Amino acid sequence: MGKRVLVVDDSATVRQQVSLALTQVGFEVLEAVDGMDGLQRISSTPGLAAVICDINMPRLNGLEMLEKVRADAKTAGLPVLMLTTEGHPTMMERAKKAGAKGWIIKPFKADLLIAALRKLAA
Amino acid sequence: MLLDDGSRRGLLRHFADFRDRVLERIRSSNRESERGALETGKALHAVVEAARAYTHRIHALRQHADESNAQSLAAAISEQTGHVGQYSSDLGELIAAQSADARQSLERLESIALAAREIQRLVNASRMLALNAQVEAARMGEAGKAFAVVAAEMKTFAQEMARANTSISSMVNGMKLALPKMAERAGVMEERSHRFAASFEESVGRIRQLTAGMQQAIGAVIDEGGATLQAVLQHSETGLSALQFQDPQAQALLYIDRMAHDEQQHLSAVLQVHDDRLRPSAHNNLGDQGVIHSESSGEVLLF
Repeated sequence: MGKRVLVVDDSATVRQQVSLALTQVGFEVLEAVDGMDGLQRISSTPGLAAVICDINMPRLNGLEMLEKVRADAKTAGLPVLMLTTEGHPTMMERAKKAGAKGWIIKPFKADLLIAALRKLAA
Repeated sequence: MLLDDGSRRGLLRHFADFRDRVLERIRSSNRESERGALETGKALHAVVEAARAYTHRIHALRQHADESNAQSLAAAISEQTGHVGQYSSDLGELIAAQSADARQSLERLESIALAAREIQRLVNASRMLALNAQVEAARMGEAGKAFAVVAAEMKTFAQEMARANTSISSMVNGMKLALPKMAERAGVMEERSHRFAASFEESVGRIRQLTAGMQQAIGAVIDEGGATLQAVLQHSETGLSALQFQDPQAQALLYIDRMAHDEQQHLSAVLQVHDDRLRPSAHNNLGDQGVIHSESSGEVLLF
C-alpha cells in the first residue's frame, strides 16, 4: 500500500475527485467532511503522510484546523496542502503563517496535485 | 404611511420565510448537482481507467506486431530461400560434373572403339595367318600335322577374339547412344531446377509483399485505436476536471443566502425591530467573494 493521505473538504465531489486522482497513482486516501472531522481523523490515524485541506468549511474551517494541527506537538510536522477556491493573497499569507506547506486553487489539475503531494510526502 | 409594530414584525417574518425557502431551494439544487457530479465522476473515472488499460494493451500489441511476427516470418522465408538456392546451386554443380564425366566417357569410348577396330584388324590378320598355316600344313602332309594343330588353335583364338571384340564393339555402341541421352536429361533437370528456384523466389517475394501489406494495415489499425483512446482519455480527464466546478458553483449559490442575511439585518435596522429569525449565513467562505476564481485555477504554490 502507498502513502496515506487525508483529504478534508465539505464537498463530496471534491473528495471524490482527489481520491480518484491519488488512488490511481498508489496513494491511500482517507476522507473527512469538515475541520472538526479532519482533526479527529488526524489524531486517530497513524502513518499519515500529508493532509489536503479546503478552507471554507462548516463547524471548523481549514485555517482553524491547520492552527490546531500545528499547535499539537504530535501533529505539528504533518505537511498540509490547502486546496481551495480562495485566491486572495491575504488568505494565502495567513495560511503560510499558520504553517501550510502549499496552496492549490480549485479546480485542481491531477498531475500538478500529484507532483506537489509526492514532494511534500517524500 | 407609517407601519405599526405588528406590520413591521410581519414584514420581517415574511422576509425570513422567503429567505428560508430560497435557502432550501438552493440546498436542494446543490444536493442534486452534487449527486450528478458524483455519478458522472464515477463513470468518467471508469472510462479513464479502461482507456488507460487498453492503451497499455495497444502499445504491447504494436510492439509484438512490429518485432516478433513479421521478423520471424521474414527470417523463416529467408532461411528457406537460402536452402533452395543452395540446393539449386549444388544440383547444378553435380549436373555439370556429370556432363563433364559423360564427355570424358565418350572420349574414352572413342579410344576403346579405336582399339576394337585395331583388334579386329589383328583378328582378320590372324584368321588369314591361320588359313595360310592350315594350307601350308596340308601341303606339308605328315610333317605339317603339328603345324596344322597350331594353325587350328590360331583359327580358334582368332574366332574367340572376334567374338569378344564384337561384344566390346556392341557395348561401346550402346554406351555411345546412352551417354548423350543422359547428358540431355541432366541438362533438362538443371533447367527445371533453375526454374523451380526462380518460381520459389517469386512466390517468396509475393509472400513478403503480402506480409508487409498486412503488417502496415495492422499497424494503421493499432495506431488509429491508440489515437482514439488518447482522445477518449483527454476528453474524460477534461470532463473530470470540469466536475470540480460543482463545489464553487454550490458556494456561489449559497452566497445568495449571505446577501439575504445582510438584507435581513439591514431591514431589521431600518424597521427598528429586533429580528429573532435572523440566523447566520449558510455561506461559510472566509473571503467575501461569491464568484469562482478561474484565472489561476490549478496553480500550485509550494511554500
